[in-house]
Amino acid sequence: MSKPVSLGEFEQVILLAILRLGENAYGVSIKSEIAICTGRKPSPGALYTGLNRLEEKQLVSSHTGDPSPVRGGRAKRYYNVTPKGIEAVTAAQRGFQSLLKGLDLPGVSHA
Amino acid sequence: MPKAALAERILEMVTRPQRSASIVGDLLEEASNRSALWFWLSLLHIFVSHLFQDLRAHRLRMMWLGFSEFLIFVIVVVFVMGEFIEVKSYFRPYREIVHYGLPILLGWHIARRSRGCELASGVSLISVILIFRAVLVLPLFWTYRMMPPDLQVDPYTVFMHTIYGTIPFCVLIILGSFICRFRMSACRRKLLLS
Repeated sequence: MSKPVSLGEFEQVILLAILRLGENAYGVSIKSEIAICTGRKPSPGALYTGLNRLEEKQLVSSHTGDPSPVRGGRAKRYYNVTPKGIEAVTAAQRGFQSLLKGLDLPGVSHA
Repeated sequence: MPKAALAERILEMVTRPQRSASIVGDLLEEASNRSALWFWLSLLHIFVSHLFQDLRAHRLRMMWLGFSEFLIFVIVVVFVMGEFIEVKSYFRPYREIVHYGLPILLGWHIARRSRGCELASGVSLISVILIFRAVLVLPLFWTYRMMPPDLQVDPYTVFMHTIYGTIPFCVLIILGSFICRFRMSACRRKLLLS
């Protein structure tokens, strides 16, 4: 089995947001999902370069949808997490979980 | 919407046409309840982020391109044009062409050598030139005390003057890279439409 790709913290956040959104993961929805779940507003530059990087690492794939008038006739680019991406985010989260084991942090529960 | 079309062209300088269209679409969707300033600032942020991502992702290639282009520049200026400029310095149009045309040509040339990250390679060349000029001036900070008092100059002023003096040259290099990238993205757009 190949070694899973190492992920930065923000890359994990993006991957998890895409997973949560399912079929409706595109720039604007990913940004608002991150804002809702983490309470921090990602800058547009960081989000799009993050998505680019993840795509280059083949952790996400993208396809264009239909153009809409709200967007000046421009199509949405939808993102999906690839099996490699799921493997990478799972490995990263497993690492976090094992680091949390035995720690008693306020407001954090772990299995 | 003209602003969207312009924004799309700007983003095409650092990313693929289809991608730039979807990013501008996202910005337009969000901009419906925000100001125009927000739209342009976001666009600028995305542009700069993509540019530096190119630099980070291909740092070795960028360093090599920057250094090799700088060597080409030194060879051209010192061995090919240097003597000619001295001899023909009274011929103003030639000097102007060298001063303004050479950096544009350098920017265009380095961009041609780096398909996909044209602007990043221009930035890399600029960094090498700025570092080189700074390194040339830095010893002055230690040696100026050894100079006779009437020849002593403030090293900080010389340093800043050197850096400021390089800025027009750097702007012209970026212009050259822009021209090359613009032509390439126009070709890509044509291919995409066909």
